[in-house]
Amino acid sequence: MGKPLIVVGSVTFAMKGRNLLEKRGIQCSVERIPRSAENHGCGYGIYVPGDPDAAERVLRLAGIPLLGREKRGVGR
Amino acid sequence: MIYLDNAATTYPKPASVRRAVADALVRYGANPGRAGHSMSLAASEEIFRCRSAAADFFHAPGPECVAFTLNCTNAVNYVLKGLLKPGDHVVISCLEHNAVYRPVHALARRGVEFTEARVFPGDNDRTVDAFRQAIRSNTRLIFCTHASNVWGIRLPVERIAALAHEYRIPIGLDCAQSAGILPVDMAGSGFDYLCIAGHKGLYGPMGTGMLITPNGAGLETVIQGGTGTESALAEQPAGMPERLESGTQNMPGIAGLRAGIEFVRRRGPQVIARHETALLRRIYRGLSSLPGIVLYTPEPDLRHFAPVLSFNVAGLPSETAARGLNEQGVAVRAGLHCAPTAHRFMGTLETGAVRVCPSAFTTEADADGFLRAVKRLLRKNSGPKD
Repeated sequence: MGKPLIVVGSVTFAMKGRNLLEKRGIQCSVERIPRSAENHGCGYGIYVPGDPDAAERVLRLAGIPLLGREKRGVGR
Repeated sequence: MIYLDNAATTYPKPASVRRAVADALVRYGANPGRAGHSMSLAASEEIFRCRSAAADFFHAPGPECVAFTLNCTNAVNYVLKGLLKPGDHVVISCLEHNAVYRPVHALARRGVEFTEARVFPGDNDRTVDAFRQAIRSNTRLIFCTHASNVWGIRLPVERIAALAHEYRIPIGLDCAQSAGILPVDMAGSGFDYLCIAGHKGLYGPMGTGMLITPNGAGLETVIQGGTGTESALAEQPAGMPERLESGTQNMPGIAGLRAGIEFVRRRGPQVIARHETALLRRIYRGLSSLPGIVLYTPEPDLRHFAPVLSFNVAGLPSETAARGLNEQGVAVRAGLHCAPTAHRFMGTLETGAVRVCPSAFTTEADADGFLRAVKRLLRKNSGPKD
């Protein structure tokens, strides 16, 4: 399934994506993304505990800009 | 007080707006779009709800197209200064508020040329043709007011947008006087940039405005700063809405704006527009029956006018007339209304005018009270002079 946090950058796109996924019955939530070498410091992502690959397909089709995938923070 | 200065800002605000602002100060006290803690996310949700409400209301492609600004003037500046470069040409109308005219004038000092297209009130064909005649090979933008903040004159912006796109030129609108009253359909009419005042026809608090555009990424930024995203980069983010929203937002104001948009949606913009126009026609008929009143426009009708009206008392400076009305508990604005071009158009640049604008909360009793106050002013003005 891959890393469960879909990085979208802005909180606006995170919430728009979250709403889209929830309409399709995909459980998810908006979270702050952990700092990593790939992202540019801070931003937001959509945590999908179930099938993030399927969620990513939905978001991509909807034109939500996707910036990669991350693990959740330490301890999760 | 009979408040008829709603073209400056609407008053009173709906109870739902006042509640939303007060609630936001308690429930959404954290900075939205910055942290990951619960209150910051809750604040972000409220901001998102307002973006979504605005996107729906103006038929924008999505909430990401809505950037919050301090007011409509800021939004206008972001478009004009974000798009125009030395050597470019912009077409504006002859009725623009200084929110448009001053930045265009400033840009002209840096090599941007502009043409003021003449507006022919009531003759949309001639107005559209004037805009067509103003287009040049280096025209980069057409930007105009939807409705004059002094005379209420309504421009045929849907047809001007079609003209602009015929020439592959983007179009921006100053919707300060029209948002919430006249139809503004971004998807239907293809407007590229909508500059919106949150605190007039949308009944939000002062300190709110919006720039709505699907093309925000194409604007050079006037302001750069913290956005809560991509912080390691020195460059301003490319994506909307963060690109145009640096620094902390007016959280309580935006919460109030959402409540205002909902108020207008529930009541219906057309219902509000008809109500205000009916009041203005009542006022117009009353004024036109009084000797000594100078009117400059025909009786307002929604096809050609937003519900804004200006007049003068013959022989009395407009500010003096406004003071005389204020002494009787009537609030209006006099002078040039930050729109010298509109006054130049009508020949009132030296005198200014007294402006009247109702709101959804104005009543027939208010209109009649205003007319009685004008009659008393006329009697006082015509009395024996020392």
